Amino acid sequence: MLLLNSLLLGGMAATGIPIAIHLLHRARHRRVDWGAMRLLLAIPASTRRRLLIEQLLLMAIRCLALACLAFALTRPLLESASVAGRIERNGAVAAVVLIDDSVSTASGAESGESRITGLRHLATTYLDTLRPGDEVSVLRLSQLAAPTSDPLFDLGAARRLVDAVQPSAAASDWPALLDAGLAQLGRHLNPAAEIVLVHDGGGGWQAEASARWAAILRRLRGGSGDADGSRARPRLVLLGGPRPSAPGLFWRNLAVAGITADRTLIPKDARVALRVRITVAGGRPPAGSLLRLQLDQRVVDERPLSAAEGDLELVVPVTFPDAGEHIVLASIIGARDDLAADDARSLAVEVVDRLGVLVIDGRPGPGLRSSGACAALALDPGGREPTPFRVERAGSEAVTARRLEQVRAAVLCDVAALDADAAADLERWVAGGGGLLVAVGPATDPVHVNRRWAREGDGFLPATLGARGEAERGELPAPALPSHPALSAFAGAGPQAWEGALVRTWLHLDLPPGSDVAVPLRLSGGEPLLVVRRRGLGQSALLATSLDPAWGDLCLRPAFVPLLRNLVGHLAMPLMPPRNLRPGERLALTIDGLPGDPAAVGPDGAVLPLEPSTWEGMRVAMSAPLAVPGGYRVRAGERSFAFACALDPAESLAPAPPPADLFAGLAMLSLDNAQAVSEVFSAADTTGRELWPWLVAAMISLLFAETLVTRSVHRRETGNP
Amino acid sequence: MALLRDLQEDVLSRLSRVSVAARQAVEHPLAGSHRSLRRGMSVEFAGHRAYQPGDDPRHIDWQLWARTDRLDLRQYEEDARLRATLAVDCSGSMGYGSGAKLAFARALAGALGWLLVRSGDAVGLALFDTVLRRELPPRATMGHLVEVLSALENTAPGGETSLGGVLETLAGRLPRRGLVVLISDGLDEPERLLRALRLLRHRRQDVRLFLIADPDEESFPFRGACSFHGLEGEPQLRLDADRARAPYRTAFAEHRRQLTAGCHAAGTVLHPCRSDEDLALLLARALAPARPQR
Repeated sequence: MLLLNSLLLGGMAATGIPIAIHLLHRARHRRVDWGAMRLLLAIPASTRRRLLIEQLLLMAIRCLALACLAFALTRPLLESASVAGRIERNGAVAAVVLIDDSVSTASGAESGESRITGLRHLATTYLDTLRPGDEVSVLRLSQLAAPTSDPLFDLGAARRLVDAVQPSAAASDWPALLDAGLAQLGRHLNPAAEIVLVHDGGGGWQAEASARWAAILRRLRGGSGDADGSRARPRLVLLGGPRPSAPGLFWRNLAVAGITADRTLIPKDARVALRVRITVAGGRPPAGSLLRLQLDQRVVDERPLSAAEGDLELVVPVTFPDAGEHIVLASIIGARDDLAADDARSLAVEVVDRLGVLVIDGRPGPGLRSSGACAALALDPGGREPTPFRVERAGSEAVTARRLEQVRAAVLCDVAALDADAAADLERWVAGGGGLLVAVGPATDPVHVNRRWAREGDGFLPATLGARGEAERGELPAPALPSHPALSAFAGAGPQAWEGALVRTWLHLDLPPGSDVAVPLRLSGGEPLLVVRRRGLGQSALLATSLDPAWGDLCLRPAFVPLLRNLVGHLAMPLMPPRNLRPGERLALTIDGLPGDPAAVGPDGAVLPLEPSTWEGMRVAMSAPLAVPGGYRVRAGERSFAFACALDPAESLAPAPPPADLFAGLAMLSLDNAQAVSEVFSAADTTGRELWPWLVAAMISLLFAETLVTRSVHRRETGNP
Repeated sequence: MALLRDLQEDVLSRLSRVSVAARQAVEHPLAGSHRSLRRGMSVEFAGHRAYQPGDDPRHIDWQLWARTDRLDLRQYEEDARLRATLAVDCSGSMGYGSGAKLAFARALAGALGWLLVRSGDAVGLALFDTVLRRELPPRATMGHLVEVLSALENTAPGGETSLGGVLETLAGRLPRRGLVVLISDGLDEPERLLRALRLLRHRRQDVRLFLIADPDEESFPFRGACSFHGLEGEPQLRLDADRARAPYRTAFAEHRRQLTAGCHAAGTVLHPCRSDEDLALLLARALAPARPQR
């Protein structure tokens, strides 16, 4: 027996009302001094007994009628034997169905039925366990950014929503789904809250998102501090995934997991190495499969994939003949795998003609004894191979507003001091979008630099210079932020890339507390070596050692050139919305200075509407969240801009198991993890029989009987027939 | 003598105005069916009284009229007098309704006594509950009537009802022929009461039973839970009055039916009455000549 509205069980106390009235009535006997007692006593004892029995019978009937009504209000459910051990629902259900319609749900088509079909079936089966009066919300991972709607009481409408679910390009993100589900739960009214995450087993734990999980656990735990703390703790059900006996998520999958260039700034007519990473899951690449590389829909390379099992990285040299924005498309031909969506990947790149760089040499000297000379040589050695930099080398007197306007980056090499006007011009130039690299050296005056350039974090310098540090045997640089664009050339290279680049002398850098300063490089001893900070529309970087051999061997090692070029190229890039996006993100293009209204076209040829918006304080034209992976073109007058939308490579891999501690934490909060609905829920038509109609009928019958008895007694009392 | 004053102001004065028929009704039944004291043409002159319309003109003393110009009737004393005994129940049950029943009984007895004495009959009194509390032998003087009325006025309700035993005792003390007017609520065992009535009839007593009931005793108007306390020491009884009304009424009606049937069988005239009834009308109705039997 299950009470769906157990809170109303307190209504059973109403049963005592007739008894209380009876007792109260008895306690208030009126005294009558009576003469004709002989006649009262002449009433036969059987009659007096019958009167008492009638009285008790009426009281019992009234008590029973009230008990039936109170019991009916609790909606008792007579469970059948088959539902024992499943989720016990107390009261009407507030169900939030979260559907993980990520990329991996499109897989399985070759085996006859895609995973999305199984997901829809799971969700529909779950909806079948709900009853009229239950409310349900259906949230899809791919539409989390869309405005949410009110919960549905129409289960048919909810089923239609589920039927319309299709695989999307979104990456699985369960914390985001659960966060949205908990927020949506606040719009529900029913007491029995259930959050059901329907997934295909592709994984979406986002284990590294510990802060988000902590917040979700806190909200699941509930409490008076939460907005929805008044609600009972929701039951969390993970529904779906492959059976333990299943071989895995994919029987075979080939995916282009990434494309990267070996430099941030790609110069025109330069030979650029594009690295294409291919993941192989569940088997070898089929015979005859090949990698095709296209540049703006023009095939530039095509090569067969090796038959070896495991991940591949193919390096494809590419030359970009034109400056501007281009779309690189890498695709696997003949993959014949489980998931087709990840067989291709796009990358948007900007090819520059030549960037002007002003190198201010604070300590001129012959050959490599000058810091400025080393920088200029690294940026533009002047050989046959073109570089994207046009270097101008000058003294500190060249730091003027007019001179700075002609370049996109400046490098201050061991400059002892600048006059106030020059420093002010430099600061304005950085705030307006310029990129500045300051490299210290023997001539640097820390006092002047701190007072004029750093100003305790308010100046254009990202950090304050401290005491000089020295290591006789030197310390090696170590990437502290490998994903930083300045280090893109060292991605996956390992520590050997920095071999011999010893730094023997450096200045200690004091970072402003709580600032947005990034530290891409540190010394092996932990001291910050390179710090970068955004100032206005531009960026400034500070290197704690010299660019010449005076304080170390960095400039003498192979790592120096790509480091300096990527760093300067990154600093020279104007602040603008990202070109390479993920599904669900919005395409944005700054519209200031554009010759006409921008118009976007997606990879499928469909026109993408753009709406005016803002990004980092700039006016932009912004699209809706991107849903289709591939290259996007935005044209404004004669100008063309390239964007690329690429899948999360994690969707192409076998899912990672849930973090043990996180899973245990969830399990403590009434988590159910099942492959089938029937393991957790019972279908509405098999959960048992609701007894309230019978109880109401019994109550009406009792009231009818009470009326009959009362009328009979009344007739006897009044003597009326 | 408050009782006499009240009677004169209320009952007797109204009774004298009711009608000639009513007055005759008082006299004729008592005279016609009993050997009552009558002023008539007898051997010994008893006196004069003023002529009243309806009197037989043959009894007018014409000589006196000739001398004094007054119309008076000559009255003579008959040989036999009616000896009436007023038996009044003073038991506790007569005290119900703040003594309304007993007050009514007192008024009724006083009125009857006055009428009888005025007619020259002898009136006696017996006040009783379980025993005879007080007994006055029948006499026809006004002084005796005052004594009767005084005894009535001073009586109070109390004790249990035992009509059968008391009446059997009384029957042994009464003269062989006479009238017994029994005024009671009759709340005794009907069989015992009827046996006593039959005994009185056997002793050649003419018996009239005035059965007084309070309106509450007829209608049983109580509602809800009531605790009934007997006025004659009966055990307390808790009842739902609404539920008990019907069976009580049935018991009341059965009690009345038994008494009515028993009185008819014993040749006793039964006058059911209520304590809130108009006494004069009751007397007029009770003393009206019986319709001839066809």
